[in-house]
Amino acid sequence: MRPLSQLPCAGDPGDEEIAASAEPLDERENFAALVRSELVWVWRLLRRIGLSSADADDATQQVFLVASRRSAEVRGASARPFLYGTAIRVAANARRALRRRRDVPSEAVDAAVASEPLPDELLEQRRQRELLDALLAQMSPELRRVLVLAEIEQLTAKQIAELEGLPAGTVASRLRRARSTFDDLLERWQRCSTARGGRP
Amino acid sequence: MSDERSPELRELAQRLFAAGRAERPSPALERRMLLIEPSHMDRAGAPPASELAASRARRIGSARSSWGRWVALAALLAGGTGLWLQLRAPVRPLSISAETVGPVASSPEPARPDPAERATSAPAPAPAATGESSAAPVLQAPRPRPARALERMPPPAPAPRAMEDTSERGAEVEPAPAVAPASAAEPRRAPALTLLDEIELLKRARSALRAGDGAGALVLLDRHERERAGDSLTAEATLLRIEVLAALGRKPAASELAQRFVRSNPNHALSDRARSFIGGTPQVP
Repeated sequence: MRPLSQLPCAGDPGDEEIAASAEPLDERENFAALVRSELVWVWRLLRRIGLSSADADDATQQVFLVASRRSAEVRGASARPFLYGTAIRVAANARRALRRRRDVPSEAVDAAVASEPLPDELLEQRRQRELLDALLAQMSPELRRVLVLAEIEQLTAKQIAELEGLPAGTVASRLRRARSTFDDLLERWQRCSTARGGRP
Repeated sequence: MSDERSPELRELAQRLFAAGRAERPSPALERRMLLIEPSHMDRAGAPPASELAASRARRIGSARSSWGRWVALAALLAGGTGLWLQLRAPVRPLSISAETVGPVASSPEPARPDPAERATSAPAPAPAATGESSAAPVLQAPRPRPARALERMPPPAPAPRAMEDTSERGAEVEPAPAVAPASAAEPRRAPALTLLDEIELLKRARSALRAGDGAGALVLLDRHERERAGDSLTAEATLLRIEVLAALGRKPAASELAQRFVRSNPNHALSDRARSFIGGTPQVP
């Protein structure tokens, strides 16, 4: 506590006041930079671990809300592990809430939203994403996560190990199993599709 | 991909992964995210609700640590509930204008709210209840920083609802807490602010508080109270008003408003935060 004589006069911003006012500005800029650099990554991760587009929007918002209240922890190299861990928890909660609600399935909502005509290429891409998500949905969460991080986000095993908090060896073996499982599922789908006369 | 698989299968898998990689969120989502106000510690000195909950969870002790973690996580998420709910609204470009909310500060000499104006937008507190005069808060407030203070606020409406409410009670002027039963019976005004305008107005009020301009923050909160279109953000506005009053040194008023808020909304996500303003301040009779 400073003596009264050392307190800044009314209207004369003291050092503390200047520092206090500068910090929120920095925080806002840091947060905006974080949003711009990590938003797509977080959203795409949420999509591939099982949320619909609309649910991924909401979950992304929740992730960044949490991050906004933990600005000290979400800096530099710690930002992505924090966002990843938060996204996984938020997605798990969102899926539980969806199961409880038992309302219109998210995929149905996405399909309804996606009913407008699209160029062939985009339509094909959407079809592929639906297949991708359908296959991923049949995998265990652990295998699904490492596969998404490796094949879609193209992270190295070391980076995945950091995000998952696992030894690199565990990640490597999990990744092998994940790829093998995905291939099995895709092969089975291909066989069924060919048998039905559809194109793979 | 495993080596023993056919090249066709491998190619198909890669196409699927590429399709997943190509997906992007809508640009509107980024705008929504940028509306979030980072808040590690607010300027009123009270830690965010998330931190209060986290420290409460720690106090619960290791024997119940998992329960404590859930409480912390729930409150952590609840800390942003109001904003979260509002930001779920469809996104459109901010339509906030100088006419709607008042200009952003750029004047070198910001206009301070006239005490008389404050008296119309916020009724005088009853001396018996709080021992404060209506002018006192303005005098106690730190002088606004020129670069951030509000330049000119449009004159307040002649008969704000909050004033009618509290003058009847003879208590310090604060709007009824969010979702209070009493507010349902009050006549609604013509909606003036859109939801996004309300968010922007409250963000400006918080910025004013952070800049040390408590009086300016109160003017903005009064304006929100008068012109809000619904009750969606009333809880957030009330909590912010409590913080502003506390920052202005009007602890009894902050405490009384916090008590009313908690009484009316005992289970609201922001009630924990409001309670923290009751504990350390004198109880208002």
